[in-house]
Amino acid sequence: MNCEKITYYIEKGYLTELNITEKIQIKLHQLYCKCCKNYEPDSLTLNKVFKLLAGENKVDELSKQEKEAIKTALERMD
Amino acid sequence: MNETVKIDASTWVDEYADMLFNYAIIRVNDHELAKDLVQDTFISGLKSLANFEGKSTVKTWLFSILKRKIIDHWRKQESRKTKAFSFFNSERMSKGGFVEGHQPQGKLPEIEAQMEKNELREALFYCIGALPSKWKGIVVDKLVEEKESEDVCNDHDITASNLWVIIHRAKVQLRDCLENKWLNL
Repeated sequence: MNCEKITYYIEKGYLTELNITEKIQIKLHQLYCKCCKNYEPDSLTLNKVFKLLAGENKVDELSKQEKEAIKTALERMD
Repeated sequence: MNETVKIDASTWVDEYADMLFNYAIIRVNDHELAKDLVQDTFISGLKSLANFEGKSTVKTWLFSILKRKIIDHWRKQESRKTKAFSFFNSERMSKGGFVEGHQPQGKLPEIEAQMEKNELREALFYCIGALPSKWKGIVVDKLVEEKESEDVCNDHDITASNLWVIIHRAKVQLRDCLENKWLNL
């Protein structure tokens, strides 16, 4: 029962190419382990949703007034 | 301070405030705080203008100041230490298995359709915020901004296998956090 190792391989597989032994270990383990079978779609979902936080989906931005206030603060510096 | 510096400072705001704010907001998820960090970055930049020798671009230089400020903020925030939790059993019989109550249910794919909901975005930020401070920057760089692994390793001075280990631990924690925070309400 080594979910710790198997989930590590799953994650490593998203970052780099796994060797054949690692791939087989994942598949074999998932045949009988519900947790690690569930882990994979969960983890893929995380990859998808986290990247939606960046880029065009602007979370928030500075208003014109706020930028002017920053300028004023900088001008006051001595 | 002389005239040229004043002019620089004002154009700095026009040119870099948005980029810096964007970078800060997805890392601290707090409008006022992100704004203050940007302002502090400009202030530090102006104060140490003499040290800026033009070896890098102004943009790179300002970003390096901001990054340090964000890391300082995370460290301060973490001073209320919580004990590291292991999601895997360490007892002999069930070694390496998921701890009871934290077993993946495979329900997260349900949330994808709900991404427009602000509450979900808040939950995602909350879960990133709950990570140990030394993982946060790496996780945001890799999972949110999808930077190349090689660049993330260089920026954070870690090896490729360090990165795999950190991303694995972080993902296990994030998965568990989101399942609890969003699906088990």
